[in-house]
Amino acid sequence: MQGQDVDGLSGRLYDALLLDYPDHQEGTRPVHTVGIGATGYFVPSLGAREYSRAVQFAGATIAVTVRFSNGSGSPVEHDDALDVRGMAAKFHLGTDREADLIMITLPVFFAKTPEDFLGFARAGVPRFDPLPTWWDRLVDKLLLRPDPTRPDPHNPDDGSAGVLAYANRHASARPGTIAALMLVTPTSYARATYHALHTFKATNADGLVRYVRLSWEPVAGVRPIGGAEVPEDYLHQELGERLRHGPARFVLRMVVAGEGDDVDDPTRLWDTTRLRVVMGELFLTELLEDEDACERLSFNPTRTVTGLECSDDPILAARRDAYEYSCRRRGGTGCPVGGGGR
Amino acid sequence: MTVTETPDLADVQGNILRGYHKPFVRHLVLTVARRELAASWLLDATGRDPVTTHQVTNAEPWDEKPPTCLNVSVTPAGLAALGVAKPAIESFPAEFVAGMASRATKIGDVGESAPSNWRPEWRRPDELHVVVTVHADRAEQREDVAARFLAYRGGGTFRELARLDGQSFLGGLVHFGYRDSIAQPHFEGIRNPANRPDHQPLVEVGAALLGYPTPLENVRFELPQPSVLGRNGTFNAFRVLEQRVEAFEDFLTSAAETLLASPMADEVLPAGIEREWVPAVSRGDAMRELVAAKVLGRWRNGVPLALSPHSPTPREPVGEERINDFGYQPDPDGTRCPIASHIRRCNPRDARIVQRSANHTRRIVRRGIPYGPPYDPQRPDGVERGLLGSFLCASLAVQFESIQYDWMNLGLLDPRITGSNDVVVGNNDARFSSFRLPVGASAIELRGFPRFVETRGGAYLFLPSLRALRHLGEIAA
Amino acid sequence: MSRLVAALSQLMERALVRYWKWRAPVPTPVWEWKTSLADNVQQQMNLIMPLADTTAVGRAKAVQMVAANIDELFTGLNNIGTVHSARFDLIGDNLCIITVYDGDHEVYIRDFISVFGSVFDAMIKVVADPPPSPCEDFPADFVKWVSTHEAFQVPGDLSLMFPGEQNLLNLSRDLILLLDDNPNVQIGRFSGYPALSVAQLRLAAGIEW
Repeated sequence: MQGQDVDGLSGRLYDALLLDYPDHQEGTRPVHTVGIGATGYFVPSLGAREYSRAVQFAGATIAVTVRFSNGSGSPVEHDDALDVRGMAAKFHLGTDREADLIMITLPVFFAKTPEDFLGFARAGVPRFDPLPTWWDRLVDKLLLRPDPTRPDPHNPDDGSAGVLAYANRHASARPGTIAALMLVTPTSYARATYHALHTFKATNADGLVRYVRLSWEPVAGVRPIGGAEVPEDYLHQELGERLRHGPARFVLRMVVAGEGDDVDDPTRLWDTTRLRVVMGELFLTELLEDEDACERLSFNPTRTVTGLECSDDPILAARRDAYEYSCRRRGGTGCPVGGGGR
Repeated sequence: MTVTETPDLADVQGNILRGYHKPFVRHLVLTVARRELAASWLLDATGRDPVTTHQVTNAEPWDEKPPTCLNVSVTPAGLAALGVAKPAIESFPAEFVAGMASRATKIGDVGESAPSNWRPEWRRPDELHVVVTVHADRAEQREDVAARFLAYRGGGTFRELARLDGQSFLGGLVHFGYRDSIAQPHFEGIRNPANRPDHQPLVEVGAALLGYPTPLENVRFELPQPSVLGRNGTFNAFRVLEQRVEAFEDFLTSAAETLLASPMADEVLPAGIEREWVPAVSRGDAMRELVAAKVLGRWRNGVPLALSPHSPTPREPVGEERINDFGYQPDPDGTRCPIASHIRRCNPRDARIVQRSANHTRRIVRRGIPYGPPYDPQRPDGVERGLLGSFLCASLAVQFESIQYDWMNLGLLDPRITGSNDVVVGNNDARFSSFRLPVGASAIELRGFPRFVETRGGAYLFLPSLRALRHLGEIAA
Repeated sequence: MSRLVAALSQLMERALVRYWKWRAPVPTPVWEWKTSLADNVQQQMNLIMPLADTTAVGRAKAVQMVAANIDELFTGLNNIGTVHSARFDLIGDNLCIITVYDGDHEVYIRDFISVFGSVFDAMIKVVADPPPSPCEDFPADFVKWVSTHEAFQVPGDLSLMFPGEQNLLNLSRDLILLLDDNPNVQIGRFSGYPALSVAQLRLAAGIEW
């Protein structure tokens, strides 16, 4: 799969994202800046190799490093703010080989093409939106609108108004925006479902290719905090607490495309009627104590191995170079996707 | 009024219960321009003026075959143009009133075959009123009859939206090289001149004509009202089907290579058997012909795989008498005739199928004729060629649409092929397509083939009885 | 006091719905076929038939009618071959048939008619607004009638439900108006084994089809 840094696209994407987070700190990730790492192991299911001959699914237990994160590019931690969460997993396949799976708590992406995403990122520039008054709420009731969840009282400067206006005009941004409007704040990083968004090509030993999407589903179930008041770093604290009592478990579920599915469009949801395969289970056992090491970790959604490879999704292609660009700018380890891991 | 259960053949249009088999066909796709003239033509053509107006051909047996035949069908818009009242039109089945384009996804007309890509005359349902079809023994007769029809009363009765010409090849072949139209339903009470045994029960005439007991026990399809309009009529899913011959031949070649490279090659086609074929061919060519046979269910010369799985010219020849005399009971796993093959999908005969009650309830009459010049592999010309297909049945939804929807595509009739579409006409995407070729106790899956037949146009048409045509003539006047 | 507020609130909501139905009506999305296998197996039908006699006597009659014909029902469902499940429930004042099947909706209903049409004729007699009877003589009418008595199914991808809507903030109002037209709704459905037909499952489980 070719990298495509057309017209310095990676740079432009990076800069556009920074517009959304004016307090961004040089040397950190442009988004998903605040994160916490954990280590553990992945046990593939017996039937997984029927679908993919990738090393992760061959049968042996695989060591894994995971970085959970909040979507924001601000270095100030606001675990309690409404935000997308990330779960980036690195499978250690032995002798310098690694495979990454990057997932977030949205089931679809905001844009079909990198240019669309640029537009979207620019629309999300934060501006001050006052909290709704009693009059606003009355008007909403008369318009049969739901109680507003935005702006988020914990983060009134988020760019959601701009995003909404953008999505009204761009149909392809709609599914992602609606999903974002329905985001909830989880009680734990281990109690949210994460999705890889892009379609991958799973090839088995017989050469049969299937188009698939992957998700991590928490065994403990999804649990939003509801209205509870929590400290701003509660997700970090909670994860440590949880892992002390026992592993955090996730099931890797894979959904297989059929005819009529748009395999290159990450804004299109695949219906729950699709064939669903359990590819294995992840056990996270320990926090990654070395925070520096965690921040220097570099993940790339296109770091794959034979048997589970990228589709022709143009966003996926653009992410390859964008992630490398970001990695170089902040001095992360393992920058070039192809040659050399951690 | 008592209904006799055998139709009065003089009242039924021809080419429904028995085929004309004439080599030259012209379909005239028409708008009613002058309603009163159309009314007059309808009456003249159904008995009022047998001398100067070519009569609508009926289903009575011929003592002497006429050189030309003519038939007429209408759309809902055509019925309205002729003055049929709205409630009467709405008493027709919903799928007919909605039109073929609105059922596109159900019958697999998507992607390139979607109605938005059809030829213009099929995309204007409000103007597409009548299709008049001329069948002739010779091209100049076709020309003559068509011209005289259009010149009725000085011309201007109908406006021509398009004309579609079809012409048979020698041996009844179609562009993909197969001999077509071998199997047709044998109707109860109707004398069948071909009269070949076909190992199947006789079909109730209500499968083809409205107003009679149907193959669905106890069920009668509703007669459009007034009953004179509906009785003895039938529906035609008329389709212009482009056939991508080059792509099909490429598929035969690559599939043959896959099979030859497989360790099961000799089980698929016994080594050396191709030398016994008449004429003998190379193993590569033989394997291509085998693929062509497996995806259809018959060798290209018409011999069924069920009777001869390894040779189109078996030592004990399969003559005309036996060419349709087979069932699938001796072949439950499809090792002779694959379950996924075209003829087994659209007519499972006595095979075990998931929908147990449906073995014989979806029989349809097929009338088709090639259009476009014959394909020459030595001189690929990029010219559009295909089939003008008429699929006749008394209920489009029960018969034609059901076959398309869950047998031809989806393959619901057998779990071993469920999820795959017919190779020849199915809605295939090369990323997902597959054909299950049983070999001994296992199977080889052929994959990666695209769609070979694309729909270029079509419409749901109603073929009224002669009495109904006269009735239309009276109300349109 | 809070009961009064709730009641007034509901009254206002009703008035608002009426207003917006006039001002910005939302047609019920037409059901669309799909071509992929996954969408054509395990289709659901939730048939809600209001009882003619809603007394305990009438309800008992409905129960007895189903029970008396259970053989015919089961034999028919077996031979249609594509039925994952079928439940006969009395919910409120309605006789409901809640079923999961493979293939086309219309083919399914017509198969019903041909394999247990007489049970349907009996069922129709206890229903408040029956279709023309016997159903074997009016199969197309029966199909139409079933369609008007089925619960509306919310599509899996909500974002596609109102493609004409210009303002995302109005989506919930669109939903409200849609639900006003469709009192019976299937909101969602989970399958433990999606994209598989009855026969595929039976074959894989070794219990034959």
